[in-house]
Amino acid sequence: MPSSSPLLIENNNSVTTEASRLVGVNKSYGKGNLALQVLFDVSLTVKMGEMTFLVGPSGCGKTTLISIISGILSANSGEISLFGHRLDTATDKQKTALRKANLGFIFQQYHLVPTLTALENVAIPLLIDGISEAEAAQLAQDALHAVDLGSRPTAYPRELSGGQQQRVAIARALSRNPKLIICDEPTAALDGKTGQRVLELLKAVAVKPNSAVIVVTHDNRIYDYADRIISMNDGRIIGDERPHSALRGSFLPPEPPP
Amino acid sequence: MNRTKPSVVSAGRLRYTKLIPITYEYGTLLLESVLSAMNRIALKMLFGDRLKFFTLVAGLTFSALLITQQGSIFCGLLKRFIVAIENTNVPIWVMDPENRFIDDVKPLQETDLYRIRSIGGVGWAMPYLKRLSQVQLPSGKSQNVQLIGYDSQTLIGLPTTAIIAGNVLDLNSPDAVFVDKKALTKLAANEDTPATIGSVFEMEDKRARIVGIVDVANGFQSFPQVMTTYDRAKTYMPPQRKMLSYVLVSPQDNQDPEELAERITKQTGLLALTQEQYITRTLDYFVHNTGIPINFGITVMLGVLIGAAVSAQTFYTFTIENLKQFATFKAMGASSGVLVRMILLQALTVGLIGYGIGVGLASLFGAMLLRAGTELAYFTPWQLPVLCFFAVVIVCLLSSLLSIVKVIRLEPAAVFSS
Repeated sequence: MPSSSPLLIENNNSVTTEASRLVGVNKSYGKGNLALQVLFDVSLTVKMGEMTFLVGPSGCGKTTLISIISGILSANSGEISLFGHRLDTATDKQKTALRKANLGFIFQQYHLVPTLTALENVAIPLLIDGISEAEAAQLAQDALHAVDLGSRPTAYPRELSGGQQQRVAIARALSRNPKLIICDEPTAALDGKTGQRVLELLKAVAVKPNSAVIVVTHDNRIYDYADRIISMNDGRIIGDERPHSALRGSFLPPEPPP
Repeated sequence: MNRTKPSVVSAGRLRYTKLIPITYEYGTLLLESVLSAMNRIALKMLFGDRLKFFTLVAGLTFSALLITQQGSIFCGLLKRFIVAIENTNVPIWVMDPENRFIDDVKPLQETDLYRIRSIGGVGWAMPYLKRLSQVQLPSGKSQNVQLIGYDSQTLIGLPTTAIIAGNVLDLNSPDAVFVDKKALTKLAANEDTPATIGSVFEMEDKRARIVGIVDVANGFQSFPQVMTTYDRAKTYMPPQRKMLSYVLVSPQDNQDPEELAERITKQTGLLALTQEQYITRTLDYFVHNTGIPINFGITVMLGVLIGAAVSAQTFYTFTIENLKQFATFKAMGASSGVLVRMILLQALTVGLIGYGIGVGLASLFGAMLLRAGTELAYFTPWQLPVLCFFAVVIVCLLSSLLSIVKVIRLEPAAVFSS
């Protein structure tokens, strides 16, 4: 991965098996009497080679947690590491460099730029990374091939179905070959069948021995794809189990509507 | 141009390459060489939202059009105020000290001419008469005219280069006058037959015969101009003790005009000004005493404000609608600087397009007026489009300011659904 970031070079040489580690993380919004604490002493390790699901009712702190894991939100206290690099002591610039080098994002509403083609949308992270346009085009085309959209590089988002748009978003997240992909409700805007296909695809192309995927979801129809399910409630982790047995466990909260 | 790898930004246009290969390739290469890929992405985002793009361009076009058009009319009026000075084109004007502008004639005595000629450094000094007179038309109607008399021997001050019909020597013949081109219809014997060379009319009960036509701009009052010799012009005026309006002076070689003007003022008690000084004095009067600049200023300001409001509102909406995308870019690692550059590029692009169309329309408006021969004053000095350009750039920057602040403060966490 071409980049001028020293963090990335260091990271490439590291042999850590942990994508992310959080120890005693607290987070609150607002100040004084208006302060609202949303995370309470959260400790968590996300391992490479796994697809980790983060589940829980709305407002339980899932989004805050993935924002902190990805370095786009700072915690009030606690220790946060991303691929061995401390985020809680890093500057904004260092966090940005870490994100650029290691993270990919997939969102509920895809957040594709409607006026750009699929290829252009997929190439954006590469261009932000400073990769030459020709190389970015090639890598973006490869990523589209990986999600079976190699024949639609010139399609605009409006010309694609919801599932296809999410596949473009996956290709965008994959284009930089990130070590950690963070998915925020990736199937919430899709029907059940399409959602399952998207998860199949994600698991096939994104989960590798040297990479990890975190999925925040309400959608219990896709729990089968999880290697690990972490349940949250009221800002605390209340369950951390492996699939199948965990799926049927009593710790899972009732499914709220997406 | 054989390129093995497609361009990211132009990938959506690949299908058109067979139709316009040369334009496409060179256009793409030009864009690639000038702008970074992210900046071209910004332009695609801008052009892709056609409704907002056209609204933005329309707002800025309106501003540029109003600034240039109203500014040109204002400059046209300014020019009319000083056109007599420019047409006469002499180094020094000598006048009554109470004179405030070119049409504010306070006559001098004939002896003043000889006093001025006796001052050291004066190359020549010639009489100049400029008064309003009245023409009696054969139809029975009367028409006010601007009567101008030049030195009978030298005709100094007569815009000879603007003569489009007749010969300057013909002014020596009896009752001979030159008129300006636009006077031909106003001095016509009847509505169907405009005056021409040889036409005769009466001025202050004396006969005048057109022997030449001059194509010069009209003054502020837009009266027809009747030009003749100084001595003959006096015969078209009611007898008065003072007939001389101005003394036109040229310095001797190596004599500084400003210095000579100061000397004439000091020695005669009259007011002597160089051409530039007199233009400035006339414009000062126009600006401070007519209220016209305020009226035009309000119109221009209104154009700027409306343009700024429309574009700021539209641009802000455009940014708000793209906020998720900008937050996504931030989450992916784009710095605020990159996003600010994208927004500025978008703002300046619509600004340049709006400026171009606005100034183009204003020029077209002026050209059509000139072609139609209307009385509307219209003059666009080169400074006006330059000023307009900076005004539009400022409007664009102000318009994008809100959006820039929004994007700088944008938390990338905004990309997540909750």
